[in-house]
Amino acid sequence: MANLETFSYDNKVVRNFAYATIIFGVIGMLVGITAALQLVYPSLNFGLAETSFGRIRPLHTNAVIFAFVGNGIFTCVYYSLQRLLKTRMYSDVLSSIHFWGWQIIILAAAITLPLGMTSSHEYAELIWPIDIAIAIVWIVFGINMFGTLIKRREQHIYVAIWFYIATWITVTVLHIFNNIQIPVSMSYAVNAFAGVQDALVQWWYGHNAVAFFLTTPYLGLMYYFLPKAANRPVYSYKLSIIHFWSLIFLYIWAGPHHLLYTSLPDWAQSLGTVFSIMLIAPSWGGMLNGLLTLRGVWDKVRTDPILKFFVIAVTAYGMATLEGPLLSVKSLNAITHYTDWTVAHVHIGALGWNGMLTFGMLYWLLPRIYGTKLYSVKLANTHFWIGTLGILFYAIPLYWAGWTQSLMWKQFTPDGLLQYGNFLETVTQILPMYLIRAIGGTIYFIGVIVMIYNLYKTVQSGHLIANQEASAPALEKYIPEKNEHWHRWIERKPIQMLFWSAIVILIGGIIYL
Amino acid sequence: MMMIDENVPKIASVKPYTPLELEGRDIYIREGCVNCHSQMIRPFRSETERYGEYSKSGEFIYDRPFLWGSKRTGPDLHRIGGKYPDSWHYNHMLDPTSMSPGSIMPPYPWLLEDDLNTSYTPAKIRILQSLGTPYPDGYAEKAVEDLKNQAKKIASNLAKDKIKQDNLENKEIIAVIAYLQRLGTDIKVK
Repeated sequence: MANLETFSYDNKVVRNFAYATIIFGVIGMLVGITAALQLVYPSLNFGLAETSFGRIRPLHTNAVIFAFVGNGIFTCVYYSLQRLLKTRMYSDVLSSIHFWGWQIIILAAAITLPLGMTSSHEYAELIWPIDIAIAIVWIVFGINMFGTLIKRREQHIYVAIWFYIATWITVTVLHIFNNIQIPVSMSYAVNAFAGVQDALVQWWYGHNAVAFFLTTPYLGLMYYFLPKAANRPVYSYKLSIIHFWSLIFLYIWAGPHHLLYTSLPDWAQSLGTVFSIMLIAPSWGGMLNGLLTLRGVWDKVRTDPILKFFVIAVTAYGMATLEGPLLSVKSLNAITHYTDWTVAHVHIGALGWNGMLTFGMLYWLLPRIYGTKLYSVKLANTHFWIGTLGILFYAIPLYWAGWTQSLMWKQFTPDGLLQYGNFLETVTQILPMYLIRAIGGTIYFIGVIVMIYNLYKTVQSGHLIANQEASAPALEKYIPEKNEHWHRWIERKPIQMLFWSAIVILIGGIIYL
Repeated sequence: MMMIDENVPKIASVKPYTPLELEGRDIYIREGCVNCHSQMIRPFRSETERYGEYSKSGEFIYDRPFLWGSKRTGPDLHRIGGKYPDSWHYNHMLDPTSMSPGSIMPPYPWLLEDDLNTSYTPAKIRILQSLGTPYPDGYAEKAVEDLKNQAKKIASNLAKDKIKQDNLENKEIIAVIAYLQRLGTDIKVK
C-alpha cells in the first residue's frame, strides 16, 4: 500500500460555473419566453432591429445551449472529474481562464447577435472572432482535463470520463469544420462552402452539436450523479462499453436526416436515415443503464426530489431519442419537417433532459460544496412538479400545432386545389397553441425561480468549502489482473481513449467531408 | 463531400448574384429571416402547388452560406421572385399587416431609413471570385457602379407605384427587394 497523500478539490470553480449556469439559465429562458410571445403578439418586437424575432431567436438558442447547458456541463465536469480521479484540477489558472473566457464569449454573443452579426449557420451563428475565442477556450479546457487525467491517483478511468473525452475531441472537430470562413471585416466573413455542400456540413455540425454538446457530456454526468444520488452502482459495465462506442460512432453519420426531401442527393439522405434509426439502440442503452441503476431503490424516487429530476430527465432522453429516429423516417419527416413538431421535439430534450438533469445536479452538489443541507426538500419537490407541468404545457400544444399546420398545408379540395391556399390561414389557426406554449414556458420558468430561492437559502446556511481536503494513495504501477476485460486496456490510458474516440468519430466525419 | 460536389449538376441559366442582390442577401442574413422562412421547396404536389417548381441542387451553387432554413413560421421564399411587384415588398417590410392582414411577421422600418453600406462590396466580390464564383476579371472595381444602377431601376419602379422617399435608391430596402425578386427566378421559363 502506497503512502496516503492529502490534497484538495477546487470547489470555487465549480461554484462559479454553477452560478453562471443559473444566471444564464434565467436569461436564456426569459429570452425564450419573449420570442414565444412575439409569435402571438408581434407588437412585442417593439419595431426595433435589436429586439426583432429574427435576432432574438438565435440569442435564445445560443444562450440556452452554450451558456446554460454549457456552464452546466463545466460545473458538473469540474466537480466529478476531480473526485473520480482523486486529484485537484491540473491547473487553477487554466480553470480560471476557462471560466472567465467562456463568460466573456457569452457576453460577446449577447451583444453581437442582437446587432445582427451572424454567420446564419443554425447553432453556430457567432461571428468568426468569437469562433476563434471559443476554439481557444475549448482547448484550454482540454489541456486542463488531460492534465488532470495525467496526474490522477485513480488507475481506472470511469465511464463518465469516456464521455467527457469523446465530447471534447468531437466538439473540437465539428466547431472548426463548420466555421471555415474567409473574413471580410471583423464581423463579416464569406463561407468556404456553398449550397448543398454547406448544408451538409452545417447539419453534420448541427446534429452533432445536439449529440456532443447536449447529449454525450450529459450522459457522462448522468453516469456520475445518478449512481451517486441513488447510492447504487451502475447497472451494467458491459452495456456502458457497448452503448458508448456505438453511440459516438453512429451519431456522426446522422446529420442528413435534417435534409430529407431537399436537394441533397438521395443516397446521402438515405444514409442519414439508416444511421439515425440505428441510433435508437445505443441511445436506449444509455437510458436503460440509467434507469436500471435505480433497481432496488425505486422507493427512494418517491421521496428524493433529486432522483425524481433524474428519472424525468432520463425518461425525456429516452423519449426524445426514440422520437428523433422516427422523425428521420422519410414519410414521417415529410409531415413534421418545417413545423412546430420539431420545436416541441428539441424542447423535450432541452427542458426535459438537459434542464431537469441540471436542476437535479445543482440540488445535489451545491449543498455539498457549501457543507450544508438543502434548505427545503419540499420546495425542490414543488419545483419538480411545476417543471414537469411546464414541459407538458409547452410540448403538447406545439405537437398539436405542428400536426395541425402540416395537415392544413397538404389539404386539397376535391377539385384538386389547395384548401388553404393562403399560408396565413395555417398560421392564425395555431396562434392559440402558441399562446399556451408561452404559458408552459413561463410555468417552467417559475419552477426555476423556486429553485433559485431554495438554493439561495441553502447557500446562506453554509460556507463555501473552497478547497475541500481529500486523501488517496498515490498511483502505483499497474499490474493487469488475470482474466481482465480487454476494454480495461483502453480505459487505463486517457490518450488511448482520446485516440480511439477520434478514430471512431472521424470515420463518419471524413466520409462526409 | 466531393461525391456531393459531383452530384450537383451545374445549370447553365443559374448565374451569380449581382452586387445589389448580394448585399440584399446579407441583410436577409442579418435580420435572421432564415429563422422563419425556408428556401427549399420539397418535391410534393402540396408544395409545388403552393410555391412553384421544387428546388434543384444546382440552383444553390453560389449560396454562401446556404439559406434553406429548418422552420416555416412563414411561407417558403425560394420562388418568391417576381411573385409580387417591388412596391408590395416595400409596403410589406414597412408593415406586414398592410399587405397580409393578421400576419405575425415583425415590421422592418429601419430598412427604409438606413443607407446601404457598400464599402465591403468589392472585397466580397473578390473573395467570392477566389472561391470560384465566375464574376468577370476586375469586376470588383465595377461592382458598386453596377449596384447603384440596379438600385436606381428599383427606385424608379417604386416611384411608378407612387412610392416616393428622399434618397430612396440608397436605402437598404432596395437591396432586400432586389434579392427577394431574384430568388428562384434563374430556372423560370420566361
